[in-house]
Amino acid sequence: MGKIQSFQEQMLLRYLLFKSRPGRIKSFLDSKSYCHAEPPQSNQVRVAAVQGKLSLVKNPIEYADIMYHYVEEAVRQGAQLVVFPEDNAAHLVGMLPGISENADMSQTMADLGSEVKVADIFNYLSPVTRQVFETVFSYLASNFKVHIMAGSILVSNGYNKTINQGYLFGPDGVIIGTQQKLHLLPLELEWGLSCGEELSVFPTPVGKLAFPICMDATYFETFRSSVLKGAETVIIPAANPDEYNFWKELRGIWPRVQESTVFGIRSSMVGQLLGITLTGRSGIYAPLELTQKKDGILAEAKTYNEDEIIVAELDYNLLREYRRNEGFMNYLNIDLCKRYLPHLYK
Amino acid sequence: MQPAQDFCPTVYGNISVIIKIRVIKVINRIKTIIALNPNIHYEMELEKLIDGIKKDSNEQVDLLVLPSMAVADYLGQKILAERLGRYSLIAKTNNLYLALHAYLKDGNKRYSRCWLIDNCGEILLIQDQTHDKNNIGISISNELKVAKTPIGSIGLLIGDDVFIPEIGRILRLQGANLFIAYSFLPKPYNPWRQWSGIWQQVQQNQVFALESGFTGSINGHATEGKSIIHGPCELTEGETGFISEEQDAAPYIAASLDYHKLAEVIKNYPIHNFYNKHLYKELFSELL
Repeated sequence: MGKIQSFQEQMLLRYLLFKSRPGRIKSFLDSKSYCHAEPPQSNQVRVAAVQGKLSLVKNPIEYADIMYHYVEEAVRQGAQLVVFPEDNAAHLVGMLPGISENADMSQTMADLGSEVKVADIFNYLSPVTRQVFETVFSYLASNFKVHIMAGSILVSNGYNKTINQGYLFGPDGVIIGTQQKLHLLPLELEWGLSCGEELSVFPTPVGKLAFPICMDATYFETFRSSVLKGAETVIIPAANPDEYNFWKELRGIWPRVQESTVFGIRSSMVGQLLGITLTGRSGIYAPLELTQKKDGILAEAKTYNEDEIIVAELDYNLLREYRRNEGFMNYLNIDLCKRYLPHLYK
Repeated sequence: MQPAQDFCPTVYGNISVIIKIRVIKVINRIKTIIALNPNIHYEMELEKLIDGIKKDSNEQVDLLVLPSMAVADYLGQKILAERLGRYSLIAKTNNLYLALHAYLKDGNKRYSRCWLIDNCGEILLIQDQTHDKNNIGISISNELKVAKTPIGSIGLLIGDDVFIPEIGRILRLQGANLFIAYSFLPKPYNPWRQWSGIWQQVQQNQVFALESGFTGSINGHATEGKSIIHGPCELTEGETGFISEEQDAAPYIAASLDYHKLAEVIKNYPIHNFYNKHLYKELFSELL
């Protein structure tokens, strides 16, 4: 971050950190009312996927309020796991002076000079983003007593690289685990982001969860790895910078769920911001045979560009039974796979 | 980003020469003739159909995908040899590549097998099915080959293989840019099931595919599928990924496949440049 770390910038960062202090956020959230999620007691878990409309905030309290309302509504509908989209703290960029929703990202970057990349801005804001994000979701998870996959945020990895990292919070407010995005979009490469190399699966009372991010669902290998490491639900926080098209969206999580016999939850960020249009329908998916209409869809948002919360029940007993007969490991030709992979990837 | 060279064999230095694969035909409706089943009748109908296609299109046909020779029983070696001889002659006479599939028996073993015959009548590629998910008792292959031809680098997928993403990936990594697939989907027809097969293999590998969907009966199992010519969404009208799709009463479906346009799609959205090799090494070396 040496490129934009002038004295003024250091002072601004200190100011933003003060403005975002945990005590202030907690004090605001304390003024809210909370219902409690039912603790998961069987192999049936009710999950919610938030479809969130991205807007810039000038103040971390606004951000906390937005997130509070999503979780409150999801828990009110019985959710025991609430899932949020990719880039779920991009709202906080609005705290920077001179940034407005109508600003154009490419123009803003041009104004900053060619040596500054988008990743540098998120890297700079990283201490603020992390502080606000972790405080808000830790507090919401513990107050609602609910598991929250809080989506992903763009933050520094501590080694001057900007990564896209997802977070899972337990009902005690503690971070159960994090996951870095494993495959970048060309746009993200242009922005200067870096990707991770490890995929983790987290056993929790709401299921064995993996949560790779957005573009990771384009690659079947992500889901194969998740399932072979024990995942029963793969969560995909998404923020698709493209006009909506049913078929292009169908290329992501839906076929991955079918080929790797697993539940899938996609939470989409939508809206228009900084000259970028984000679209996509949040959805909860299962193998065809485990859905009423044999279409692989347990629940799906009605719109691709509005705020929505969808909920569905995941029945792990049904999934396990289905896998015993139809799971890909029953029939995958491992000798064939090992003959060609991984060495063909060059 | 550089376009994948294997997808753009016609680019030499800064000079770009577009060679458009002229017309690719997938026959689908002939399968109703198979149901009637007199073998010689089938051959005669095929010749008539090829003549009809030539008259319809007024263009050279480069590749013809025949429907599966799926019959009530597995084909024996003698009948098979006779048929392959005839098909070789048809390919040579009509100067086209020919793809075909049959269930066959050889001694105690049974196979689900595809052949690709070139325009000189030579068998260029033989591919056996590599997975037997439904335990129909076929011998499966541990090998996947790609035929590099003037009309594309061709890989063959059969039956259950269409649902196995590793198959498409292995073929793509070996340079395939055109898949020919024989799918056997259970009746009643469920479009979602079909989309979870070759359609998605095409999208995640950025290739073309000709899918011959069989409708009939295989070993007592009723099947119902559509024949479809697929391409990456970006190349198709409405971004559906369907270049051409079986319609009622049409004896075949046809499409022109343009590899130059395919290379453009890959250049704009180079999925294969973003492989996470570390992750895949763990997957295929330790987890499987």
